[in-house]
Amino acid sequence: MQQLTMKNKIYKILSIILKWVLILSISFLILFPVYWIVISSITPSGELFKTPIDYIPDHPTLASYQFLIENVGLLQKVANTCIIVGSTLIISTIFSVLAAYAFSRFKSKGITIAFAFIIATMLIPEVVTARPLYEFMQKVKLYDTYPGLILLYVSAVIPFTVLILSNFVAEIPISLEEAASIDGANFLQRITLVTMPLMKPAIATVCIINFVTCLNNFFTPLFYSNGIQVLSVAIVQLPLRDNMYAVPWDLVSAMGCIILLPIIIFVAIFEKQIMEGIMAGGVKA
Amino acid sequence: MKKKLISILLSTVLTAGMLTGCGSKSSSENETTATDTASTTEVTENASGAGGEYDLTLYSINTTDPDFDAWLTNVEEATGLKINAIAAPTDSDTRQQKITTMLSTQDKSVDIMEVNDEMATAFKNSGWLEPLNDTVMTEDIVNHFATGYVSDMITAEDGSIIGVPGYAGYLALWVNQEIMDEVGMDSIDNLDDFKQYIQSATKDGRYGYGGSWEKTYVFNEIAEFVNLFGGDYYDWSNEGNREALQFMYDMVNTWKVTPIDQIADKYEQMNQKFIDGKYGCVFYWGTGSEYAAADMLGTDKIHQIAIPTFQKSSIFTDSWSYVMNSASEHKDAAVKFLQYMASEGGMQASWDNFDRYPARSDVAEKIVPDDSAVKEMYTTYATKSEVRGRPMLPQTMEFISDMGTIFQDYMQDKITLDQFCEKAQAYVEECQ
Repeated sequence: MQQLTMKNKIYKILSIILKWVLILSISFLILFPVYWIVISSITPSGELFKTPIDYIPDHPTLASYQFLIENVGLLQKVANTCIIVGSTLIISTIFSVLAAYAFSRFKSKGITIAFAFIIATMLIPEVVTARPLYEFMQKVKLYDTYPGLILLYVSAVIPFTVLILSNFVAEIPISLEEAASIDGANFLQRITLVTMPLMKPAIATVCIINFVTCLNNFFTPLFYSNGIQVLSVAIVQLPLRDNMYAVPWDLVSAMGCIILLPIIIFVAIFEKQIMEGIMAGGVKA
Repeated sequence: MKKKLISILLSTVLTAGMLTGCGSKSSSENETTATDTASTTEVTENASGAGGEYDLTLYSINTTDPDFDAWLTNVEEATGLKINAIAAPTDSDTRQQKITTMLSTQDKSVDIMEVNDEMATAFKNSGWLEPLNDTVMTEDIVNHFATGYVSDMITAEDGSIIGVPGYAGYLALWVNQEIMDEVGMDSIDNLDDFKQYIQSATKDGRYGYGGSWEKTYVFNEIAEFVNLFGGDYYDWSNEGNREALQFMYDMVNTWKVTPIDQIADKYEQMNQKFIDGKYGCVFYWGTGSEYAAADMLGTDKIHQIAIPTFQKSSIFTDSWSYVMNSASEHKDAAVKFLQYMASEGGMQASWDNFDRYPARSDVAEKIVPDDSAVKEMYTTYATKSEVRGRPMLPQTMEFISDMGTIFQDYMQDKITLDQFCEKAQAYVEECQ
């Protein structure tokens, strides 16, 4: 009996050790690059590639950040990002909620095909449509405009949003709407007063995920815009050094930190909702 | 029925909503959309479009340079043009992808672009760039630029000159004078001197020669050695090419004067090692600002020397050129801009603000101070060495990358010299 208890104790300790080793290893793998970017952003350019490697800089400096603020027009880029991402979130959420409701509550061959069509667009790589879309945007005078960029961002997030939300709506018992209907609620009241309040957690989740997706979107603003610059593109618009051959890694790292910061804060605050929403939507992120 | 109607209605709303973005274009057409607070380069959506408030749009990699505003003010004042400057990506792959798309779609939103040698080679025969022979690069002007560079890099097959070089850079040989003194050498004049230096400088973890042999960077050094040995980068049956490759192989594997692990190094890593005293010499572009930043630039520290003569003395020059989009709707303004950039005033502005050494020899002679170490060396290069543009083919990046890959294979003994030359020749023909 005592031997068994001892054995159990050993297993327990071993499993805890294993768990922590796994947690620490995975955390290290994920966090070390972030740590490296942060350290590089405060290391003078002349010390960045020293060997042996300095894991803590000898002469930490905020000069890179100062340079970015003074020369790269960060504030304007932040404002552009806010306008585009904010508009995208509002527009995509409104249409996705309505579409998700329709796709999960009404069944017909046409609706199923339309749903499959929307979801299938998620599988098309951006580069495949880039060239024709570029010409199209030029022709309809949407190239390098806010509406053009917002339209592209919206179209990029809608498939995922509709998928998550329609799965969520399908989980809401139809009997709730039927009960409301018996109580005299019309169609709009059933949507706005019964279903939508129940969708709040899922809506919050997709908003958060879409926010992060939009903030990270590099290809769309780079390709379909010249003058309207957003944060994600700024990382490839830093001045080269020494006759254009030396990449300013200190500035790149500082810009990387600036782009990472709102995402980290956002995910840290809403991590619970993101996970809950993904689980509820039945989709693996 | 009711459900069907509602579903149709919702789908219609969704579709209509998606299209509303198109509706707003007319109102936004003339509004200012973005203003870079840190520069005077206000950007409007249709800056270069008809009726825009700018005379031309410049797609530049320098917009985030601290002195860009001063440069732009100078150019605007001198030309009387109001210029809309747009930041181009400084990342090479991204930039090339974007500019290729703009030019190939006849995008009119940009009039002038800055292109490097790789892009100039890729675009010069495409018809996407406006020939400048009659307007900007006229005979009296073009004669002042390095002839080899103009013909190798910015002249199309039909003789059209498509760009105005923005500066002159050289792939110079940089040495560490402390190591030179230590090994008791005053100069490196020929192949024997070079061999002696790199061999005697190699000791205690230090290598006589350092390179940047990452597969897309090593191209410069391979081509430099091929030229020094009198070879021809496009003809891999040439004995000079084989000698050059054998020499590089011997540096790594026979004499062990340069490390094989530099196949992962780009210029940043190479320079750090050079600054840290781990290399005796390197080939590198620029005027040494990185060495100056590390307080290692000077005749008693790190400095450039004249290119030694192996079979011959040869040096590569590089530049970024201003080119005109052939789809531009503001060609008069663009010509005016380019004429200024090809003139003394334009080159002075680049020298003053970006430390770009003038591409025109007569202007360099005039505006660069005589006590400048760079001027002394650049004059030596121009007069004592054969100045060439780098050997590039229309499928530039593929060619560079493929050559880099087989070079690394050869250095690591994965393929023989014969196999290298065979493959190299195949790439030359494939990427034409």
